Amino acid sequence: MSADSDEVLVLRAREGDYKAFELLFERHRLLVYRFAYQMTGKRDDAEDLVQEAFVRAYQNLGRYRDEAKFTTWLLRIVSNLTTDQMRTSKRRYELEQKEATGGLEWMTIGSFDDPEENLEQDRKRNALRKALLALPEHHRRMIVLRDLEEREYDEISKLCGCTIGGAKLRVLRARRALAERVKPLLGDK
Amino acid sequence: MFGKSDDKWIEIAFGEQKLPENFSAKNADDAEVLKSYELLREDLQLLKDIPEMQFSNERLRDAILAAGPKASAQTPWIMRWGWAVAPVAAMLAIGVVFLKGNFSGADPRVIVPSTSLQNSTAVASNLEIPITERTSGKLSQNPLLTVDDSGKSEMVVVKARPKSGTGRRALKGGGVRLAMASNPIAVKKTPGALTTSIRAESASLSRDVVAEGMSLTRDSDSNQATVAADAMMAPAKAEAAGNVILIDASSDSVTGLPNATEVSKNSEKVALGG
Repeated sequence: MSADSDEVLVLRAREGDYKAFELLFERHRLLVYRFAYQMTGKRDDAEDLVQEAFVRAYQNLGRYRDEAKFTTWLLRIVSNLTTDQMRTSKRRYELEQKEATGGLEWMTIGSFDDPEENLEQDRKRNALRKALLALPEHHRRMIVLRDLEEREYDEISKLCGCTIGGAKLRVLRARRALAERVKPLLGDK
Repeated sequence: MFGKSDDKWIEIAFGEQKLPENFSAKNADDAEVLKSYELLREDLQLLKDIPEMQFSNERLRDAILAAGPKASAQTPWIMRWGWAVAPVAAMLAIGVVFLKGNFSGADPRVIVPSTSLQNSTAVASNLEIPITERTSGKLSQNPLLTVDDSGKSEMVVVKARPKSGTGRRALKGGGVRLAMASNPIAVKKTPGALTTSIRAESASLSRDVVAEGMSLTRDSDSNQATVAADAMMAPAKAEAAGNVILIDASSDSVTGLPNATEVSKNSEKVALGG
């Protein structure tokens, strides 16, 4: 175990060495931020989640056990936070309403705040982003973890508390659900 | 188009399964499905571009300082140990209920002190009026008093558990509660003269009652004497008078029952309890 490994830093942080925790933060904040952003689609929300995740991690360092990687533990925290946020998110409610009433037309039409909205790539990105955000949270988490963050299945299984086979099945279902939602977009192509 | 049957194409498109070697594009539908998933995977890569995070160490430090250390969970002891205490408490509660039931049921008990009956006199003390069913004229399981031919008796404790209160009577009056059996109790004895001073104490805790008017009947066939407790016989009267009943072994020629005489407690014939 190297002197600057996550486990050693956690031990030091537990003993009150805040510098060690800052090192952990520096090392993993982008990972947490990316996940949070992909789940929320908003930078402000993602940064709030990052803050909350690291505060909770600091407060619960004593509960961290070495059997899981620190990053897995951290991702579990932010994943739970995201789930909580989604439950109370007005935005999610609006998206669901849109989905229920207007099908998927809103994905391919409408105005975009992005000044480069006329560009095909941006249009596609935005559409995909909205499709992703419109997915149920458990499907979205799978897409983010596996296809965007490229986490291994064993880590996903630990995060979800399921077997590796179960994680593969969840990812498969999530991809199928996403494909259903972006079908109009693909049709455009 | 995007059904469960597409699972194989999804896995191939996302690089988790290899394309079958014999796959050819002769099936246009399959090729189209596979192509659509491959496009989806490519498009997803666009989502990896995310805005830069503007989150500083200072903000985190401030947030941690503001949040403070997490208050240790002050779970009440009942929550921490309740799982262990609950079964014990339940057992205790059940035990108490059963014990209380026994007490209130005046667990019938006859205690006959061991004493020499040189003069063929048996003294029964602490006779609690049993609450028991009559078992065809005898208590086969619990001999009450045995007197051998040498005239010596042993202390005998009889416990007869009432069966659902059958034959139970409770008299209340004058602050005295007497629980007694409507059926007679049986006292086993050997042949010979037997004079028994019976002092009955009710099983009601700390309330002694001398049962007066109890008749000792003798079952000649089973060679048992039977004490019949009659609830109607003013049980507290003898106690108030300080008398005991002596029952002689000699029988009445007419009734065949032992003769009984009431004497003072202080009488020399009373060996115990006087």
